Amino acid sequence: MMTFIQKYNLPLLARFILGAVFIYASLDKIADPIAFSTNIDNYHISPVVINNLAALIIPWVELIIGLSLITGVFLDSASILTIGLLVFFIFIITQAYMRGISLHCGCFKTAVDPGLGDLKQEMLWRIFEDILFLGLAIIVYYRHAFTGTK
Amino acid sequence: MMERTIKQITFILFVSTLLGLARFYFLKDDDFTLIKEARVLQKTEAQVSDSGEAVYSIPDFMTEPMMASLEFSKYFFDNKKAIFVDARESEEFELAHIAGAMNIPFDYYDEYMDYIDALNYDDVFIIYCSGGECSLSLDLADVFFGDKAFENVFVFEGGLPAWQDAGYPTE
Repeated sequence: MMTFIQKYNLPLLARFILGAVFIYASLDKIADPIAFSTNIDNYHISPVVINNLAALIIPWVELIIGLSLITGVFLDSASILTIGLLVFFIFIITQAYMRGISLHCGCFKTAVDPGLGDLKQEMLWRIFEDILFLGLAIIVYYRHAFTGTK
Repeated sequence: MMERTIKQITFILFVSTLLGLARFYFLKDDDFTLIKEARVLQKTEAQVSDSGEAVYSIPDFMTEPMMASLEFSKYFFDNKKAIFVDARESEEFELAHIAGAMNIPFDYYDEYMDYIDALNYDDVFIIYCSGGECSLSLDLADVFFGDKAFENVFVFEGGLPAWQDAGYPTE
């Protein structure tokens, strides 16, 4: 396993995958913070008063950490923020799912994909996806242990 | 090491906040404010008839959708004066819904546009979803009232749970 990780430089691969995902996820939200604010409302987890601010700031955090992951600048900080964001995303989607709230998560696109069948299934898929990304983010943070470098 | 990481995280969050505020400045949308205001809909009031019964009527002029109480909704249900619209997903609608309600899931309302356009603009629409936590009914009410210019649009805040708790007819 370790040989595989070292041979294919998994931490570097994880950085590029996560970086691309976070940059892609930020673009639609930066373009339309109003729709993203509505997405946040639907979670019913934060006071309404802060949702517009969150809709304005979170996408830029995603964009900056996406760029950091790819360029390697502030890598430790970016990976900690990535882990924090992903844990938060997993928590808010899970709590909404458990409370029976059907919602479009607003993870990548602020609008619902018309071809999408079932929002509950989308939520489960997003939780699964975020857990995978969280695994990648942990690999990035502990990259020295994986590659044997300092 | 840890101190440096904390400084970098603070820096990233600070720059993100500045960029977010810059985005807000260039957005130039009067309805989108930094501090979002919770929306409170006007409530419908009952009048008491000569025989002592509560009577509900539709205001002559509405500037936005209004909040419908359980009593208001039941009154219009009994008198067959309103069309009930379920804004939840079709899978949830099929499990249970207010008797006679039609289903227009808010998340896919674009696909129901022909359906919506065929409705009568003078009718009274009471839109509901899953109760307190659910905002689909208000979102759909905004589409009905704002985008499609229906005149009499109400949001039944209690939704299906309140209706079922009261033992009123469902299908």
